[in-house]
Amino acid sequence: MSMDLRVEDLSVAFPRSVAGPLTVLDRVAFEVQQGQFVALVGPSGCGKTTVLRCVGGLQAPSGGRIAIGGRPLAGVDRRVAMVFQSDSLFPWRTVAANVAFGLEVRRYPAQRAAAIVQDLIELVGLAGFERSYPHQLSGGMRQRVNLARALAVDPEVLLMDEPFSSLDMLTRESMQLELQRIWLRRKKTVLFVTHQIEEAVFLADRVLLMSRRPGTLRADVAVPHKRPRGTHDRHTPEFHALVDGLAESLGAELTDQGPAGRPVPALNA
Amino acid sequence: MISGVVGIAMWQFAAVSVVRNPLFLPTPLAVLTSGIEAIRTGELFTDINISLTYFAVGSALGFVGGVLLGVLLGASQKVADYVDPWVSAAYTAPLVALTPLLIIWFGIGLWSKTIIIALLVIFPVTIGTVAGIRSTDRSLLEVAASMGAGRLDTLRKVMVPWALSFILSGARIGVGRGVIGIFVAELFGGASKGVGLMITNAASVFNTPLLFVGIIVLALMGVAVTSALRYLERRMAPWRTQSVV
Repeated sequence: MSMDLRVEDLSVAFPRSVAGPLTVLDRVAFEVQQGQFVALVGPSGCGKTTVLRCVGGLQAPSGGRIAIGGRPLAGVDRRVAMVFQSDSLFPWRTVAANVAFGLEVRRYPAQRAAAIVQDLIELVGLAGFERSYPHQLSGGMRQRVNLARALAVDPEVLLMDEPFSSLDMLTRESMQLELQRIWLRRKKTVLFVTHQIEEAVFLADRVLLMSRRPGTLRADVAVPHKRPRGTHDRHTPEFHALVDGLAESLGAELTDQGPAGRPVPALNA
Repeated sequence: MISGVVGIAMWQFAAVSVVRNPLFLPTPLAVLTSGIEAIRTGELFTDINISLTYFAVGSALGFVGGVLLGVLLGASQKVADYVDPWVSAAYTAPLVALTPLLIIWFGIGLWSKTIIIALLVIFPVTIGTVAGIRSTDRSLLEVAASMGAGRLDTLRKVMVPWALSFILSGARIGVGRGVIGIFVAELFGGASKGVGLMITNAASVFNTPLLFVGIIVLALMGVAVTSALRYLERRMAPWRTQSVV
């Protein structure tokens, strides 16, 4: 049984006292095959993070279904782990203890947990920093810990919510390479939210473009570039064509030029 | 250091040139002499020993009680709704006025005195703990939730560690009140020894220098514990660049 992530007709609406419910997501549907890296991009406020929070069980949908391998997700699920935006590390815990958090909560035996933690610290390139505290680390290193903490519980699906948005450009690009290296080793199903089209195209097998509120899926673009991708891939005409095409549809979203529901031409690869 | 020297110099000046009556304001030298005399006879240490016992037991009781009550109130909104007003009332009420009543309840021994000190310490600690727990960073709570942490794990592994600085800040305020508690408890509590009683006795025979010795000793006890708590706070929460309160 493959462990595909399937999101069906996902809707989220928040009740408002005066104006009726605020629809944030409107019947969003997509599928992520097991081991695939999918990026979710869209203008700010389009609900891309809400999609992630629904899959992660932190937000209850008002309609629709989410399932992994045919088994539905209801609330927080052990098959899913989330990498949050910067500074969600526990400041009183060392690097090793931060990585161990999920294992403690899920009552892994201490010895097994320690082995997993050590393994992941090495994988994310933080060997030697096991006993450091988050405030002693750089932003990039903190995000490595964040990633290791989510990977430690060995989820089927890894959710990443703009994990590199607070990093400077150079650190961000090197972290993207690192993420690719780690992902190629572990081959997790990844749903990666970002507002940066370049980042989405560089990292993902597929880029899903969302429309402005109420968020719906507007385009589903495959990224054909071979892996492992390197810095040189950012400078190829194919890369730029993809980025520009997506940027154009995103721009249309922002200025409301495209009539609602119209599929974006040439992008539905 | 400089503030100490300047302060003592101003005191000396005020005592010699302004007040000019050692009964109203003794010179620092007179207080020092009186202090040395009290040390020489050994009486000062007997008094300190007794007062410190009340202080230590009372503060410890108050601290533990305050943290437990604070965690309970911080963790459960339902409990908080009922108990919060009582805590605020108890924090501001002049609890020292209860001392005579506590003596009727608990006798004139150790317990009545430690309990009045504990009562003064407990509520600032409670308020600090509640404030800390309620201010827990939302994203950290979401990390815990997304890992499937239960209520108890979230409390133990996220909220309480987060609240630690707030708890210690509450304890610092509590200790200041506890020192007042020593004096009041000994004054009304029928103590036979103790720094508070020493102050009362000195005052009744107009031994102003000895009265000052007592006040300085109590102040130093407060300063010592407060500094220790500050140190602990820095050691245990090094990621906070400044104290929360």
